[in-house]
Amino acid sequence: MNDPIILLQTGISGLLFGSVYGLIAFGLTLVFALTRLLNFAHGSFMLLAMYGSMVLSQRFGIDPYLSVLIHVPVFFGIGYLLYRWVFAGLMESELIVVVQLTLGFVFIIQSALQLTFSADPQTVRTFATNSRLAFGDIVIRTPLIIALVTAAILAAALFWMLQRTDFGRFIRASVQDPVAAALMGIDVNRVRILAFSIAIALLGIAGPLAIPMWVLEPAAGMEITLFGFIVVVLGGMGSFVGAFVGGLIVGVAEAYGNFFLPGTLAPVVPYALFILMLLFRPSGLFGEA
Amino acid sequence: MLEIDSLSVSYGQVEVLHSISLSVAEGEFVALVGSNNAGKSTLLLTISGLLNPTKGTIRFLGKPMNGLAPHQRVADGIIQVPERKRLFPRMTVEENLLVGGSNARAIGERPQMVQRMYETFPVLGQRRKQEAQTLSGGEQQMLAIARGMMAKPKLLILDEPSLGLAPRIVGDIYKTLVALNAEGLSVLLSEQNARISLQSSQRAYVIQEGRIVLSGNSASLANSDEVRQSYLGL
Amino acid sequence: MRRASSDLLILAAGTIVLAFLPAIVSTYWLHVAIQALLFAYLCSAWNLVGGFNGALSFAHPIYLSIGGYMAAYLGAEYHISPWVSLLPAIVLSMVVCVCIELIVTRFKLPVLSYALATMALSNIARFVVRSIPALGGVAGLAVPLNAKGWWQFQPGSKSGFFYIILIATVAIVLIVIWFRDSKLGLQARAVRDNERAAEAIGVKAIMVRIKTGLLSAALTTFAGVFYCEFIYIADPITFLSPMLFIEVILFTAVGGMGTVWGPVVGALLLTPTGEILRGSIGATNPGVDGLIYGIIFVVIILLMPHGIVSRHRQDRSLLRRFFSAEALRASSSRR
Repeated sequence: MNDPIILLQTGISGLLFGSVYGLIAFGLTLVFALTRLLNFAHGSFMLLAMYGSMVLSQRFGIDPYLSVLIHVPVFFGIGYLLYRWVFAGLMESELIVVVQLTLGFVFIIQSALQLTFSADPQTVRTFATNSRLAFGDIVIRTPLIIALVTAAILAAALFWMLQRTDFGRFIRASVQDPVAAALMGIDVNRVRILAFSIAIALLGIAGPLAIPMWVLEPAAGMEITLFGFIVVVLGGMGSFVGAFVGGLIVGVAEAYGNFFLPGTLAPVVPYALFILMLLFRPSGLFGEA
Repeated sequence: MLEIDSLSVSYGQVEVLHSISLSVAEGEFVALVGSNNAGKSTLLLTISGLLNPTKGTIRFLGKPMNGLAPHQRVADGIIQVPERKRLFPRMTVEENLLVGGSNARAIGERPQMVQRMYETFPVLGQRRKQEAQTLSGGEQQMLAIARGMMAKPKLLILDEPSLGLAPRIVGDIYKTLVALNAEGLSVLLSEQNARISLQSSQRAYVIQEGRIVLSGNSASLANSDEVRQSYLGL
Repeated sequence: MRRASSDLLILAAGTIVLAFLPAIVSTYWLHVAIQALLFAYLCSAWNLVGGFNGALSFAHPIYLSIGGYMAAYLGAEYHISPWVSLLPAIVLSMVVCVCIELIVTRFKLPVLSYALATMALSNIARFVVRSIPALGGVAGLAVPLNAKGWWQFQPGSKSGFFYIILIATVAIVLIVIWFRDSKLGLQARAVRDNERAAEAIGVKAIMVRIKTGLLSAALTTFAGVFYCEFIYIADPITFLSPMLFIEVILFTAVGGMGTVWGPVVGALLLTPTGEILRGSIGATNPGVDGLIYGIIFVVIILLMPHGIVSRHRQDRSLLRRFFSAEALRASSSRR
């Protein structure tokens, strides 16, 4: 049972799941660091992306991986309008109002999905669903590898943007001191709306990546959001590196949890890890206290 | 160049600036002297667009500024080095400068301006890859001014540049500012420390409890009894 | 206090009117009424912590399930009356509450981390409970079939349950009125509005949070016992799923946080609304009811961000601020 190969495989699978968590958390960090807005509906949008891919696959035969090409502009647009029409006006509101409103959105999206697709869990097939790749003795399901490679490329691109482009510097400046940023001529509000749109677009990518690995059901939105926030806090609020590393850690912890613990108890691991982190290092792995 | 007319600003229901009128001509070096909470920062923040006045107007190069967002005022040439510097702490010296020079007017010459800043402030050149928060107080103030210069200001506003700095460093900073002014840069700065600001500027205003109580030639203000007692500690 | 006496009048009037309900309405509507009052109770209990003390707690499902499971377990194993089970359940809830508060308050956690931590704890509780066969695993623990009579918390008729929850709700409203006007209530609000300032004048925030939390936890525990007996089962999904508890928070928010009547109004208005939607449209088109329900929520929050019974005099509608360039400009210069 504790064959080292299997243990290694489990860990690698965990990394691959974790890379998707990292993408989700990166978007959340982007939004939260810039706007301090708590969007409980974040995960619900990813769910929308997943159902969207399912529709495209069933109706038009478009493989979920290809649907990313459609999702990116669509979700960018959704994020843009959502921020412009809703979240921009919430910047001055109390946190509790934002929470209420976004919880209301969770409700609406969940109900709409339930109405359209029924509450039953569904799975979607991709071209890679049943294939596996072997690396020596280690066998990994192909969809996980695709997820990791895509997420890694995206992560690299996002970090390059943050460190080397003006827009990336604007984002970091607006996070570290929005007043100074405004005084240097940065249109902080435009930075916020673009960043929010990027975050939602990222969900449009993370969704299809996650499809082969997860079961779809309308009620999952809140759990995805919770997971995302847990990763963000674990990695350290406001740290982009922390978001990815946190995602990987949560992925691996979850994988080993599923391996060693009985099925009903296994999901506890990431949450327990989160509580432990809060107890011993509340600022997170990479966060500033 | 900058004309402020009967400006009033409130925080919520409380009016903190009462009908302020002030001007800075092209090429002038003007000082705003006042104690803590006199309203200096409030006034400067309003000029930069971070606060909205309840009454009065601000005109820059003849153009009314009311309602313009901060980044639009930067585009017009109003650049502020805020109180307590407000650098981007986890960005490097070089990144701070790059951000400073990213507005439309300045970006064309940005690489050359960066070099010029390193020549004017050699210590910044030495520390170009260091995070801003690791610099000493004086170095940070220099970086803040350099960052402001990167934006190609027509009017450079500084909020208490001497705050928390050793006298020798303050002297260096003011020397730099005077030199920049001599090259044609208009400067408006606020200080609690009246002495050096009155020495370096041509004209000055004294602000107290949100009102301008004195104004005029800096040298004669420095000699006036009122100013000597209240602000020069004599 | 002038406010309290008018509140008491409203309470008395409402109670008298509601007391006649079982005689007037059908069993179906009585069932709805029971649920509405239960939500009114739960929202009022949560409001102590969430509204008056400003802590967005998702830990209350834990207290709810302690009540439910304790009643079901002790009833099934030892034939102990749920009324008696209430005592150890409350004690356990209070211990858990103190532990949670100590964990969470140690770090002066901002609202986000507090909400997340309590949500995580609820989820952990759900996974743990459903893994324990003695507690019925995934299916939960049923109330024993031979439990009958008021002493066993099984009045045998809907009106019996109705009167229990009616009295409980009256009691909790009285408690909330007392709390609001008490020193603890004042301190709770002070901590909510500005913790540092409150500490500066000698209010110990952690003590206030613990005391308020203990009261809220104990009250919620009773609701757990009631609900378990009412639906004849205590199971992990119904009692511990954060998604289901969200309704309590939303009802309280819509009704008005930090007020006596807000949670009651929110619950009494929205529970029947949801039920009507579910029964009419939901029967034919499952999902539409949830959609409309959610839209109603969002609309109410946009129009009355601080709730129907608001403690804020000027209720600035959020709609006015949306679609406006003003909002975009204002938000570019945050302190």
